[in-house]
Amino acid sequence: MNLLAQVPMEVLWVRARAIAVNVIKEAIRQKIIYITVLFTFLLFAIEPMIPSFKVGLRVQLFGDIALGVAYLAIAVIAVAISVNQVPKEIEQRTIYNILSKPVRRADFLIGKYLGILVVLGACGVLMGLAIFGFIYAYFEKVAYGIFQGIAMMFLEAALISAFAILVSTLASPTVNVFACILFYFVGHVKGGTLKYILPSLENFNVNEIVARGIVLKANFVLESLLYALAYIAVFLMIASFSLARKEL
Amino acid sequence: MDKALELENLSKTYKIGFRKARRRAVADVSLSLPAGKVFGLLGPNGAGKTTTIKIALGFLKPDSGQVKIFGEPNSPKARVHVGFLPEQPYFYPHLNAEAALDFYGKLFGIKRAERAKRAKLLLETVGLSDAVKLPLGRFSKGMLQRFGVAQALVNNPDLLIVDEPASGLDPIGQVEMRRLLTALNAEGKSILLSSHYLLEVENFCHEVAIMNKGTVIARGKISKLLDAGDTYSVKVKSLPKTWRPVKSVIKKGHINGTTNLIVGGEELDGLVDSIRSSGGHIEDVRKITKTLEELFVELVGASANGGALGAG
Ligand SMILES: Nc1ncnc2c1ncn2[C@@H]1O[C@H](COP(=O)(O)OP(=O)(O)OP(=O)(O)O)[C@@H](O)[C@H]1O
Ligand SMILES: [Mg+2]
Repeated sequence: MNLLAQVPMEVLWVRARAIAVNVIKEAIRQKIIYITVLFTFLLFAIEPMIPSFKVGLRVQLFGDIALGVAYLAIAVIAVAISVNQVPKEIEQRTIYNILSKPVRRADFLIGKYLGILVVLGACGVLMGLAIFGFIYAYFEKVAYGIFQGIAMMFLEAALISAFAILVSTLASPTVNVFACILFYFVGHVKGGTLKYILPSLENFNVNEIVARGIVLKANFVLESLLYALAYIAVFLMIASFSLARKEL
Repeated sequence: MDKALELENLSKTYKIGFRKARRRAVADVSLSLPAGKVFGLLGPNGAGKTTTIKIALGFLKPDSGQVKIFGEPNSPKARVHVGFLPEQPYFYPHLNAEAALDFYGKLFGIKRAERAKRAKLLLETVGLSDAVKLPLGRFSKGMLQRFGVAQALVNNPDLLIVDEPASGLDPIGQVEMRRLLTALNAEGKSILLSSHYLLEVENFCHEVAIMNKGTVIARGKISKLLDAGDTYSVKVKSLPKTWRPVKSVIKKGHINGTTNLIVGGEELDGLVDSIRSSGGHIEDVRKITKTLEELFVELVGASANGGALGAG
């Protein structure tokens, strides 16, 4: 296309990367991420004290519950760091210094999104390592399977984030948080009409299976990946369209 | 001559809220900035200067009209040659000046070594060498304004668009800003500048457009706009009592032994002769021009109730 001929692909990548790096730098300063991560670690630590842990099932139960906690935590982080990216740039007028340069609004969104993915990935890895470490410490078991669960929850968080970015081009962060909560619950509840429009997030919930040490089928993983990517692409496309129409 | 920026018949009405209440901000504004020149966009608060600039840069879509940057419609490619200082600029508070300039340099695809070189040079140019490592969140208003200029110059633009560059600067800062913009223009950069600080533009812009309530109410060379007609002011020291005013003298003021006479151009020679022959000592003869303030008040007053004006 003509546009790409004018601005080499590699330059677009440089721009998106610059914006992404900035998202990461900013995230490093956000307390909510640390609080959420520390809180999950705390829950992992006190989990084995639950009295109903049956002998033999304890490792599985621990893994399942810990993954469940991480699952919710990473969704919270995804929402927290996504809802404000675009509105804050507009409100603080920092967006003028970006979009007056050779950056398209879509590049701006892609940069933001890539930065968010890196932050979510880092949080996921941290939580995975923590669960892995606790299982090793408490039960002396090596549970690599945990990371399959982490990978799937990363996909879900990526999807939630794309949704949040889309809503952020249309609505205030407060409205966005409620929209995301709705999105999360509809996605995890089976049935309902909205289910046919919004992605089924329950697909990404493999906590119980991986906690039992079962290895996910490659087909299933690939399908889930494509499923997430398709929704992400659609959400980001609508977001770009919406931001392109926005008066700044 | 090549045009750095052309705005053709721009109109913009803001629609506010769900009810889509309408607020006209710009109506049929055209202006053209020849390459290498400085164009001043003047007008009181709310005149539509910022709206015009935002349309020029693509932040707002005009209801009608078009924008050309070096003859092309606005696009990422066209913006490679543009630098922009927004009104009341604000930057990522967590980045220091150097890191922020580096970031903005990356958005132009400038290589690392070059970015470092430019950052240093630009921060020096705008007088922020002692704040290189200070987070922008700790900058004062005037420092942010200076950083804003550095940021706008990171790509060494051919067209510089600055929205009220002197606002927030102390008097020395304002003089420095004017000097900097003059120097940049001397390097060949075209500049579009908005202001209500009249002093900022008086000796500096090649051409101005004066806006009020969304429309351009006067435009042209400043000297032309300020021309009060063919009238001269003559200051005379110790004018003898015996001197009789010639018919054509319009006004006569007297302060501290100096008499101020105002006369039409065709009578000037006669007046000067008569003063000298009567033994008066001529201190000063000059062509009368309006100050930009006067012009402003005249024009804006004529188009009714312009609001408060900063007089610089
Ligand atoms: N986002 C907006 N929504 C609605 N109306 C707006 C918006 N921005 C500006 N206006 C209106 O448009 C008109 C022109 O505003 P603009 O900011 O262009 O003026 P200006 O000449 O830059 O003024 P100033 O010297 O105060 O910066 C004003 O009446 C203002 O109220
Ligand atoms: Mg303005």
